[in-house]
Amino acid sequence: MREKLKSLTRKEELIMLSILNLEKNAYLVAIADYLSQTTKKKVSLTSVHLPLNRLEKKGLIESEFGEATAVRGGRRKKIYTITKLGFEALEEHKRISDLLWKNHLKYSSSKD
Amino acid sequence: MAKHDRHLKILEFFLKNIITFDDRENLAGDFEEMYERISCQKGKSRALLWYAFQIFKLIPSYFKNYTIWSLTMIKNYLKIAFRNIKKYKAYSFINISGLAIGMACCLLIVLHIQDELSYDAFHLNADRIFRVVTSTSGDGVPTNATGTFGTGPALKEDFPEVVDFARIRRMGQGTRIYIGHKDRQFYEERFFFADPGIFTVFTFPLIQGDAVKALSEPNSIVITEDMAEKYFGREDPMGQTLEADPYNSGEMMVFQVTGIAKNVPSHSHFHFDFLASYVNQKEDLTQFSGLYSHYTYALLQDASQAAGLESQLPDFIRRHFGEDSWYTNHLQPILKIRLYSRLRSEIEATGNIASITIFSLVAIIVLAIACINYINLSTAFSLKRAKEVGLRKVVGARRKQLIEQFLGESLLVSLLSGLLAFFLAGLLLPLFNAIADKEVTLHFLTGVIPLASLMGIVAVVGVVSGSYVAFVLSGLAPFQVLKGGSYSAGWKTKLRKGMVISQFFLATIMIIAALTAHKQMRFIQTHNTGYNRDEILVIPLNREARAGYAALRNELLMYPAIRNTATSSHVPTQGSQHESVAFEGRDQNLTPVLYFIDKEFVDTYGIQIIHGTDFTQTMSHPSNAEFLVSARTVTEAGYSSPEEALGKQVQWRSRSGEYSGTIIGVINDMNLYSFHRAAYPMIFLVTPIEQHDSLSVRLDSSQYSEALAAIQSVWKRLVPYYPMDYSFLDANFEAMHRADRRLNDIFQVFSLTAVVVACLGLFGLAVFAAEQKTKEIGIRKVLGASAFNIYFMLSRDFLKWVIIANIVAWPIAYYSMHKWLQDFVYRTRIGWEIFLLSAIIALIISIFTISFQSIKAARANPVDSLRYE
Repeated sequence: MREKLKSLTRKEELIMLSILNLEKNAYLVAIADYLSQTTKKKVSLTSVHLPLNRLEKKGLIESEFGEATAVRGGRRKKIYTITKLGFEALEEHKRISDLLWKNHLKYSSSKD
Repeated sequence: MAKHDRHLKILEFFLKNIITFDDRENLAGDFEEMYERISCQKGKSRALLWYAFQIFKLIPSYFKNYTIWSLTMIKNYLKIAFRNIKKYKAYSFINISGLAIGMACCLLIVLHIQDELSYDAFHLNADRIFRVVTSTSGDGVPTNATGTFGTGPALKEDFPEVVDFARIRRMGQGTRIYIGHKDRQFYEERFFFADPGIFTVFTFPLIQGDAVKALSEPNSIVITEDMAEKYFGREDPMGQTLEADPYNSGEMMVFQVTGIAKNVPSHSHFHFDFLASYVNQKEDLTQFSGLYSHYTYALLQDASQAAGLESQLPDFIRRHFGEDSWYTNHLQPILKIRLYSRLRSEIEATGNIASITIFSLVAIIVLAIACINYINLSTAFSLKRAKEVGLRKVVGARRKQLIEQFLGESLLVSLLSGLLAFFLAGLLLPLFNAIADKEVTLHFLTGVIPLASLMGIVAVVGVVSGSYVAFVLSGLAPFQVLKGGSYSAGWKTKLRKGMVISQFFLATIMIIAALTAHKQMRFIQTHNTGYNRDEILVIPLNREARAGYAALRNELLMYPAIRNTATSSHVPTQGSQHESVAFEGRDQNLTPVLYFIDKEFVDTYGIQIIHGTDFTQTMSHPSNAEFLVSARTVTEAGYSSPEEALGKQVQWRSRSGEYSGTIIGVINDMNLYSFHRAAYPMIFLVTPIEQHDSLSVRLDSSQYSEALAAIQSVWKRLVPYYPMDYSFLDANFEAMHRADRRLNDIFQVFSLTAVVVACLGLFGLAVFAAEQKTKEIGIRKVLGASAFNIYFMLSRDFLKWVIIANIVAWPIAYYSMHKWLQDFVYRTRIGWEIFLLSAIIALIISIFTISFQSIKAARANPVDSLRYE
C-alpha cells in the first residue's frame, strides 16, 4: 500500500522539514533563509525553487496565495504547506532513515 | 534612489518575460524581497547586480523551453495550414494565384526601377561628373542640354575644381551619317565628334588602342566592337581607314581607326558607335561661342563643389562671352539625367520619374486587389475555421498563439505565392522588356535586390492580408463558436461589401486610365498635324543626289505610284533650325523655325495656304525674298490677322546668310514634334538645293511596295555611289510618341491583370455565397422559384457593388487622367463614353465571372441541396 510513495532526496527532505518548521510562513524566500540559517551555507533561490516545483507536482506539498506585503512591491506570497501524502512520505523517509541510522553510535563509539 | 527604482522596474520587466512558469507574480515578489534585503546589507548597486545575474541565469532555460514548444506548435500549424490549402482547393488557388500575379507585377516594377536607377552609374567617377547645361529662359531654369564649344576648355582653365572636361557633338540631326569602308557602306545614327577627355571623364573601356592618345590626333576615330565587326569583319580594324560624311555635304572625311571601344552599356544616357576627333569639325572652334550644339561634361574634384562652381558661372560667362549673354549655364549631375532631365535637345530620350511613379502605383494596385481577395475570402471562410479556434482555446491556446498561427498561415500562402511570382516574373520578363523597351534580366543569384524586395513583399503581404483574420478570429469567445450558432454579424458582410467595392474601384480606375490612354493614342495617330504624314518617304540627300536631282525627280514622277517630290533643309520630326528673326513693326525678335525648301514642298506635304499666294520666285533673292509664315507666327509677331501680315518685311542674319523680304502667304500650323509641344512659329523660303538635306517623296498609299521598288531602282541607277537610306514620316512620328505608347501598353496590360485578379476574388465570393445559401436555394426552388430568380438573387448584390465602385471611381479617374492629358498640348477629351464603357466592361466581366457559379447553383436539383440535413 505504501510502495507507490516516491522517495525523497536530501534536498527535498530539508525543504519539506523547513516548511513544517516555518508553519504558516513557508514561502520561497523564507524557506531559503531558514535553510541557510540551519545549514550555515548560502542557499540560492533557484536551488529551492526547483525542488519546490517538483514536490508540488508530486503532490507532497501544496500552495496557496498569502497576503500581499509592502516589502514585496505589493505582490502576494505563495505559501507552501505539507499535504497528507507529504506527511506520509516524510514519515516513510524517517522510518527508513532511522532504520539505517540505528547502529551508527555503536560504530562511532567503537572507534574511540 | 529613484534611479535605482527605475532600474529595478526594467529588470523586473525582463524577469517577467523570461520566466516561463506560471507563478510569475509570486516569483517577482520573492526576487524583490531578496533584492530589498541585499540592498539593505550591501547597497543598491550590489542588489541590482544580483537581480540582473538571476535573470541572466534564467536565459538558457528560457530558450530551451521556447524552442521546444514553438517547434511543436509550428509543426502542428504547418500541418493544419497545408491541410486547409488542400481541403479548399479553389479558395487556395484564387489566393495563391492572385497574390502571385500581384507580386510578379511588383517584382517586375522593382526590376524596372532598379534598371532606371542604375543609369550612368557604371562610370567610376559618376558622382563627380556634371553636364554643363544651358538656360535661355532668363529665369535660370535649365532649358537645353547643349551649350557652346568654348565652355569646356575655359572652365578647366578658370577653375581648379574642374579636373577634366569632355565635349561631344552628335552629327546628323535626325538624318543619318554615311560611313563607308570599301564596299561596306551604311548610314549610321550614332556618330559623334568627341574630345580625348571622353575616355578620362567617363568610363568607356577600350579593347584596343590607347585611351589617352586615341582621339588626341586629328583624323582619328574610335569605333565600338559591333561597328568593328560590321565594317571590318575578321580583319584587324586598327589603323584602317573609314570614310564618313558627317556634315552630309558630299565632302568625304577620312578617319583612321585608333581604338576599339566596348559597346556602350544600355544604362547610359547616350550611346555612340563612332567617336571622331573633335578638331576635325569644320567650324571655327577658336572662339568662345557660336555654335550651341555641343554637350559639355565636367569632372569635378569633389561632388560637393558643384554648388559653389555653379554660383560663379554667371561671372564666368560674362568674362568669356564679352557682353551680357542671352543664356546662363548650370551644372546637372549625370546620375540625374536619366530620370529627371527634361531638357531640349537631349542626346537620347530620357526616362521619366513620373512614369516610374505610375508604374509602381499600378503594380501596387494589382497587389492590393490580390490582398483584398485574401482578406475577403479568409473572412468568408473563417466560419469554417471558427470551430477550430474554439477548440484550440478550450484546450488552452492563448490569443497570442492563435494570432501567430493565422499570421503564419497567411505568411505560408504568401511565401508560396512569392515562389510562384518569381517564376511568373521570369516568364513574363520578355513581354515586359518588349513593353518597357528594356533588357532587364532576372537571376536567382545575381538579383539580390529583386530577391530581397520579393522577400519584403512576401512578408508585408503575409502580415497585411493575414492580420485581419488573425486578430478577429483569435478574439472569439469559445462558447460562442462551439455553440454552433451563426456568430457572423452584419459587420462582416459590410466589410466584404466594402472590400469588393474598393477592389472594383481600383480596377475601374485602371480601366478608365487604359481607355483614356488608348483614346489619346488614337488621337495622336489621326489628328491632323498640318501636313500629310501618311504617304511621305524621306531620303537623306548627298552630293550625287543633289547634283542629279532634276533627273532623279523626272524619272520618279514617271511612275504613277509617285505623286510628287520635294527637297528641304529639314523635315518634320527630324531637327530644325531656329533663328532670331526681325518682323516689321515689332521691337523684339522672334525665334521661329526656318525651313529652306523648294517650290514643290508645300504641295508635296499637302500644306494649306490660308491667305496670300504660293511662291512666285523659283529661287529666293536673299535681299528680296518671299516668305510663307505659319498662322502661329502671325499671332506671335502680334499681327491682328493673316491679312495684316501679308506684305510685312522680315529679315535675319545667320550662318547660312542674310535674308530679308516680304511675307507673301500664311500657311496652317504644323506639329513638327510630339503632341506634348505646341506648334512652333515657322518661316518657309525657297533656297538652292545645296542647302537641303532631305528628299521627300509623296507616294500613292495604295501602291507602297511598287513606289518603294521604283525609288530604289531609280536611285541605284542615278546615285550609284551612295546606298539609299529612307524612313517613313509616319513611322518617325510614331517613334516620337514611343513613351506614350509604352504607357498605353502598360495601362492596358495592368488594367487587364487588375480586373482578372479582382474577378478571381469575386468568383471566390460567389462560390462562397452559393455554398452558404445552398439550403435557401433548395427551399426557394421547391417553393417554385425559377432558375432565373435564383440566379438574380445570387448575382444582384455583386453587380450592385460593381456599379457603386464604378461611380466612386469616376471622379478620381477623371481627375488623374485629366492631369495626365495636361501634359499634351494637343489632346483628346475624356468623354462620357469612356465612363460608360468602363462600367460596361466591369459589369460584363463580373457578370461572366459570377454567372459561372450562380448558374450552376441555380440549376442544381433541390433534392441534392436539401438532402444533407
